Amino acid sequence: MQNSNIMYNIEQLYDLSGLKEIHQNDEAFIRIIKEAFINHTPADATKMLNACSAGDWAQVGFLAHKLKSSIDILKIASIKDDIRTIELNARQQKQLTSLPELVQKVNIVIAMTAKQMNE
Amino acid sequence: MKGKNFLIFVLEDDKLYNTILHHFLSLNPEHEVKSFTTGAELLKALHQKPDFITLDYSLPDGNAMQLLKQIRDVLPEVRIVIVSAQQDVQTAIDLLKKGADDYLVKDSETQDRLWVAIKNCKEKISLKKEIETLQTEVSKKYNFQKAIIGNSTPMKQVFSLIEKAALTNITVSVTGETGTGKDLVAKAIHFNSTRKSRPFVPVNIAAIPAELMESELFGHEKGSFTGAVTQRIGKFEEANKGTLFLDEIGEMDITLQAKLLRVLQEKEITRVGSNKIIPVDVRIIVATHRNLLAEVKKGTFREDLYYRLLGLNIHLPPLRNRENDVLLIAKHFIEQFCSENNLPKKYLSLEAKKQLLNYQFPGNIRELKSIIDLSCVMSDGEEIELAHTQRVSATMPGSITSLEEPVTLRRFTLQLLQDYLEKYDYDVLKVAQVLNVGKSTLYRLIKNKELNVPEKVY
Repeated sequence: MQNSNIMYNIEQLYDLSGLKEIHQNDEAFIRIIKEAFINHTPADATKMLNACSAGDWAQVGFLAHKLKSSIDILKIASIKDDIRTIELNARQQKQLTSLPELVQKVNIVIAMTAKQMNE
Repeated sequence: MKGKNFLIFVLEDDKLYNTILHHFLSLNPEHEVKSFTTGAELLKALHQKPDFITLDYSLPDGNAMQLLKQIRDVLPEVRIVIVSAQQDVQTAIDLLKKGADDYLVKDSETQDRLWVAIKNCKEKISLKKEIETLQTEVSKKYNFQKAIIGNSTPMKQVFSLIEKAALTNITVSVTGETGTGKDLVAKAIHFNSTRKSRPFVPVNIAAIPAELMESELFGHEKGSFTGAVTQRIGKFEEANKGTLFLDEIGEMDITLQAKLLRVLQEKEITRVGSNKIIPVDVRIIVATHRNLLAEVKKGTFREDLYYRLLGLNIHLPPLRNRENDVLLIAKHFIEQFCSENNLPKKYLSLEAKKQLLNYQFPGNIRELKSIIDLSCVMSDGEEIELAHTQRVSATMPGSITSLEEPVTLRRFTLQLLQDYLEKYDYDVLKVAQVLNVGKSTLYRLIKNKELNVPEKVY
């Protein structure tokens, strides 16, 4: 389901500055956050991709809602608007034809973010 | 849990956000934070009685709306804050209506706002604990076995009746001579009843002018009469779910008696100047030094109200009929006075005890308290000698020195009041304060010409 029209920013996809500020540069905590993201968020994004393929829009909406706060916290700016569009359209079941592309984009960006975090 | 005294539950199915909230809330060493990812897990752990719960709106096994009710059924008092990415205003309103204490949208300020919510919650809990402590202290104070001192046969009967009265909501009428402690009995019943955490509202009927009494009892609406510049709730509404103590009920104006009877029958009031009916759940305790049946026969007290109020009658015996109670109470008053005034411990001499046992105490316990307080002040050493009590009695007009004369209680009381009025240059407020009687009682007696004062005073 790869789409060659999607362009991705190859610079750092996430920004932890806000989180570091709130938690006073607690390196141990930042490490825990990264681990939590790497261990759980890509899996949820993949679940959303599968739900989209199955046409299970309620589940797509639920997972988009869940991913939204993680994307906001880590300031993954390139998909901030996309995840909101997915949640809204999936819940209201409108413009469904555009959703697979957006869901795939989110899935790929999250996977790339996790990869960057691991490096 | 050592050093931790604030239990927080975090319900958040997003592992990342859950981790953040858990870490953030654990920054305070007083917090113990437990994380859950499903509503079912959280419900199972409610027996741990958390102080604070954060709920995500969307959950894999339902949503916060359904969970709120289930939590509230188990823990009605717990503080619940919804932390959600759901920005729909109507959802937030519905959740607040269903019992959520706050609704926070997940954004960059969520953690700061959560911190404020927890701070407010702690203050609320602290205030609640303070109120509970104070209520316990008040209950202890009015634990009638300790608050009402007495070992005599007549008082044992009184204790038995107080115990029975405290178990139910029956209307209680407390009768007895002035100074026998009728208000103390009313408080003891309330603070030992199931209504003890609700208000105890005393109203002295004799102290409030008749024309203001209706507004005092039932409240009034703004503008209902000259001077009613604001709406005011009355004593019945103030005492809702609690106890209303109507002291000196025998002094109530006959026209108001009819209104009171209606309220007692219908269990609802109407504020002066309003047509709105307000239901009230109030336990009534009344007290009087008068013989109400005699007042009924005289036509000054309604017969139907008399029977309505009679309920369980507790008659307090005069101190002179309470055997050796006078010595027990005197001992208590000495300890109390010395403690409050940082005086060394004192005790009564044998002669002083004998004199107190032989005295008639027309002013009952109030008079005994006055004698003891003065005796404590007058005595130099540990022992309160006979001389001291004699000196006390000598300074109390019509007191112990006149015991041998056969006088009626009323005549004695009037003489006492008259002497004090003369002693304090007819300063009614001063005499009321010194003798611990209502100033309105004094004014009434002056008005009725039972006490003599120069024209300029009244």
